[in-house]
Amino acid sequence: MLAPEQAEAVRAAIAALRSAAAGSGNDPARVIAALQKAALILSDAREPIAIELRRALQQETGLSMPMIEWGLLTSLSSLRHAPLTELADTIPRDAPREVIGVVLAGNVFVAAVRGLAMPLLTGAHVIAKTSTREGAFARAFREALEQADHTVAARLAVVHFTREDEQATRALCTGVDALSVYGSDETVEQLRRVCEDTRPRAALTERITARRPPRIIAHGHGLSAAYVARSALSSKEEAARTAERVALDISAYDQQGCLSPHFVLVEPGGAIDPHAFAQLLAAEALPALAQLLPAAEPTLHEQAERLQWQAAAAIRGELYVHATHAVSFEEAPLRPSPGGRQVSVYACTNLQELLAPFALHLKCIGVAGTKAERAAITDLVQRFCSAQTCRSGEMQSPRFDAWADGAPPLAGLFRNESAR
Amino acid sequence: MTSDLLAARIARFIDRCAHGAKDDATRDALIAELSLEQSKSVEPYRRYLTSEKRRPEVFGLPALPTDVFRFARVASHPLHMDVRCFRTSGTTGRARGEHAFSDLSLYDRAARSAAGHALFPEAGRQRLCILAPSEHEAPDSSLSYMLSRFVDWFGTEHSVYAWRDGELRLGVLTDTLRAAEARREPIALLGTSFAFVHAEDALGSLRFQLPHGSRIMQTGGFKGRSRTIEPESMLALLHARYGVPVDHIVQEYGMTELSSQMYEAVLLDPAHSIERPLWVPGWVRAEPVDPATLEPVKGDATGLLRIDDLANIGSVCSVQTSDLAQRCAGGIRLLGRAPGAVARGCSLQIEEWLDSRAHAGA
Repeated sequence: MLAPEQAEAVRAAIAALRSAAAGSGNDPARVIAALQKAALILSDAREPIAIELRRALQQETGLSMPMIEWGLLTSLSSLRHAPLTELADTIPRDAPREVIGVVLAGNVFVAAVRGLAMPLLTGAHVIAKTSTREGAFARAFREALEQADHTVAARLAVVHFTREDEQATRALCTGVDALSVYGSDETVEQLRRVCEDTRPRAALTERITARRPPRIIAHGHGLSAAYVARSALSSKEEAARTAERVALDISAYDQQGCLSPHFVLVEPGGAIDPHAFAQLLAAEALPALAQLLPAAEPTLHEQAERLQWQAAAAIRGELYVHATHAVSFEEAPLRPSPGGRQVSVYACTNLQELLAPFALHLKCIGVAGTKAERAAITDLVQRFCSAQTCRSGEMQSPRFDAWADGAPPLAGLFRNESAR
Repeated sequence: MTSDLLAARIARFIDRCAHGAKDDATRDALIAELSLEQSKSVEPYRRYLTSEKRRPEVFGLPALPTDVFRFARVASHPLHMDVRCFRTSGTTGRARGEHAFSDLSLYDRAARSAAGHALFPEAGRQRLCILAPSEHEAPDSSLSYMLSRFVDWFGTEHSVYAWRDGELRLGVLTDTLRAAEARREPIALLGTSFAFVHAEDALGSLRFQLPHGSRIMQTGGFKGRSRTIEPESMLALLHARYGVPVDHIVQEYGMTELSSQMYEAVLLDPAHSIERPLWVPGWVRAEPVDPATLEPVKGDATGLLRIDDLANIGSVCSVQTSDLAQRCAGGIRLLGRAPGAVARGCSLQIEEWLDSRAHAGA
């Protein structure tokens, strides 16, 4: 399990980044230009890097090619000039050049866009540890940056080791100034423990200057929900359009992400009732999406989870099963989905009451309704959790500068020396 | 409720299979009869069958997925007739599965027959040292109930619980094992996997050489209650710690939703100590099935384990688990969770939420 050469590679990468960081200036305009150029390279399906990326992503994630293409398009296009510049302007000029570790998750490959671009934007040098399941995106992003601007690319190192590799994990945790962790709560806690555990020993045995333990920027467990206000069901046509948007939120990345809705909460009183909305999703909207963004072949394990979830749905309410998805209409309490386009619809007259048990883990609520209704839901949600709200149909393509985990986009990624 | 006549026939059949005998034709006929009855008398099963249109040719009716036990009362008798209700272990944020009994005699008969054959095949009693709570401490744990019966059926009067009030009693454990060593009296150490890990961590450099004939039975997963150890490593640790040969270390497979247990066949045939198949009692049918068709998989292909347990007379005898399994010489090879089932990154680990596999434990 232990691989000293991996740990050595991590230490060497961090040393190189730290050395480069010491001599680098703050040039956000150059970083922004490089990020945008790299995004263009990866978006261009004729570029060799982009071709290889698509092949590797299909192999590693199992997602269908149209799904991968959609993911790349929506995520890379979020690296627009305006939000990048506005964010860069918020970073103090005297912020120290740090080395930031980024631990990437394997569930939704596009999370790496934000995961890597944000710390680079702050002027940090970044060591990214990819997941065992998927590492193609971070590697290709590094290559595209290299093609775009060698100097900026030198600020990013991509490594891989397993979570069982204690030496490499320790090397990462003791070497960086901050650690941005995407993954399960268990992963976050494991790394937090390593950071706390190894810092004093490393300082003693390796005779390095004792630095503060790395800041942990946690992006742990999460799930999301969709809310459909009655105004979004004002007519059958409007209901069909709403169902299409909700279906996109469910289908994107085969419902594997923390921004994927596990529940669809429907306010009664529209032209169709919540139960009919469930049927509409199952019979029309989700099948149409499956044509555009085909679902991945489920693994045996995923099939097992779906079998269990569907059986419980059948005895709790009404179940509509199709080859590519399943929709249930159930009564509270809410029940999380196993993913893979399996979703429960509930009639909702009290959003807070329904979602309260999941408040700690709620990441996003996609709202179908008027602007005023969205604002009202945002107000309500802020009272009991840190989830973001967005328009229905946009849950899986958040703005680059959107808040996440209840914090501003750059939270924890730089030290504000002036403020101190 | 199941007719008394059918119950009596099943009881007799279990007795016939007590020493490892098999009669698959009679077993399958009884399963078909019991399932049909339960499909009418057990409301969640009836409702599930209305929704689930697939009818696997080999089995006739689909098995009820275990998750249903978390959301509905799966029983053929009314609540007021309950004499016991076992519950699955609770993990954060999820409902616990429940399995109610109006009569435990068939459970006892099945548990005693299976353990008598695969765990205590020799005649005579042994001192038991139990690393799990007693049934008084955990009245809703099927494991605790079963282990308490083991004390009655297979244990001596000196049997002890080295797990009390939710923690390991290290002194009780070491004193008991040292006494067994001194008296050269074989002992059976039975408990949950996570309790064995706690013991492993607490015992430090202490090592034992338990007398010939001693055995270890471990069951269940870790469920966040201890660090996780791979089965092969666990086997090596137990062997090294207690000096018990690997062909006397037996993994038990039990579920709250079932009334019968399966055991690794190592005590039945030491040749099985490499592959370590699960021995399936004669009154149980265990088949890996294809989740798409619900039919048995071909040959040694991997499928989802379906278990038809004739002792599950008061709920449903046909239970669909999420465990991956293969057929192999000597029984079934359990593969646990799929190797490709990686954590879903920041998405909730639904495996945890939906996991309802093993005994309630502590």
